Amino acid sequence: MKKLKIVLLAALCGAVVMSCEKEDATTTENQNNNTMNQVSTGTGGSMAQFTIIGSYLYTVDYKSLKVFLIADPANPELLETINLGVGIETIYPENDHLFIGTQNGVLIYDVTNPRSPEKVSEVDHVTSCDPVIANDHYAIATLRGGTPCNGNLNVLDIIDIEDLSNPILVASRELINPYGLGFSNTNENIVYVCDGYAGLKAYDISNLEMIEEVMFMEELEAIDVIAREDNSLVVLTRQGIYQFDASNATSLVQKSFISIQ
Amino acid sequence: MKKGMSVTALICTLLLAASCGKEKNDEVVQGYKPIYASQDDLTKVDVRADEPLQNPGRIYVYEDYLLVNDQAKGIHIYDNSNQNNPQHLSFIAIPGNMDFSVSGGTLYADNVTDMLIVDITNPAAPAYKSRISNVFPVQQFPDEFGAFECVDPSKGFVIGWEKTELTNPKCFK
Repeated sequence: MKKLKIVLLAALCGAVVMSCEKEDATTTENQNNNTMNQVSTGTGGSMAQFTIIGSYLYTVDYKSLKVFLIADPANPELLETINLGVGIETIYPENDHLFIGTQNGVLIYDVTNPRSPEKVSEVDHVTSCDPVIANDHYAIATLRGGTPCNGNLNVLDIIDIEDLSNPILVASRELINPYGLGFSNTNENIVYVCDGYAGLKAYDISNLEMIEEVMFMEELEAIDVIAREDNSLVVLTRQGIYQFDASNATSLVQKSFISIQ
Repeated sequence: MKKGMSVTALICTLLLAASCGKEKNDEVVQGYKPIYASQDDLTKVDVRADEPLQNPGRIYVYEDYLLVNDQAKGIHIYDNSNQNNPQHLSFIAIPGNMDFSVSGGTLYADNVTDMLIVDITNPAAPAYKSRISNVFPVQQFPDEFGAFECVDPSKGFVIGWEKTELTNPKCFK
């Protein structure tokens, strides 16, 4: 017991010290899908710490992944807690996998057996990793630096996940103050990136040798984004919530704005 | 044990302050301070017709509704059937709430250490269903890096953090 305590203590201290070199972790919401039994499930942004796949709700807190069975909504049940260490930030579901953004990188878990997530691989990075999103080919993460205690790295990292057991960092692009991100629904090569006070941006990732900025909305202090199947885009900013028509992925047309008060 | 851990976290943080922070002589800096609640307030969940949106943390789309978390305070529900003109329907006040998900008309949300289950079949009148107690750890430091006001457990439970000006902060992340 005593040993355990010491280990925990060391881990905790490690966490705090680590955080010293890193940047933050606000998070987003995640994503996702309808399911087998026609139960309608919502969609979050990339900063999410809760996500539902079928009858299972997965949550991350700063140190663990939890699995809840919600088949009977009147009586949900905590099935499992998996300790992940420290600095856990976001969770994103894609193709029976969970992509977990942490301050050290990205963890990939297989949830083919939804009750027992199994670790497949991880991508480590020197600085803090904010949210991560994924599709069939790539996992894309943003890293934000810039506070007094940590480095100045602010980047978009593109990770090849064709082989999930061997993810490879294939490209990076410099950013300024990145938070959430999301794939466009109308153009699979377009990724929206919320670059904090530096605005909402879109990048074309069809040529990884030369990732091109194809849209820049400077006035939006963007934090997170949800690209909806109806081609609309919901953008959380420091000033409030915008909705856009994103039929043309790089030329957004504002539909409405809910201001903070 | 839990208390031990909190104290440990605090000590680590203090140690860190020395190792990491630069000397700040009577300096006023931007940072975070804890929002406290008494044990009694923690589980107090209620629904209000109106509540201003102040500090949105998460956005979420469910059917024709847009749900928005107001950090550490609760969840706003908007009728979004007309995206050109979303209408505020209700606000579920949930102390400490930072995240949530919705499936089949049921909302699952964190309420400090608990998982809260709310029926939103009628989003204009959400109804408390149940909770699973003590499933989430309490984070004794803000999400953001930088300076923060050290946690004083005698003031209650930490349910969230708010940005503020700090004079000579002693805790850093």
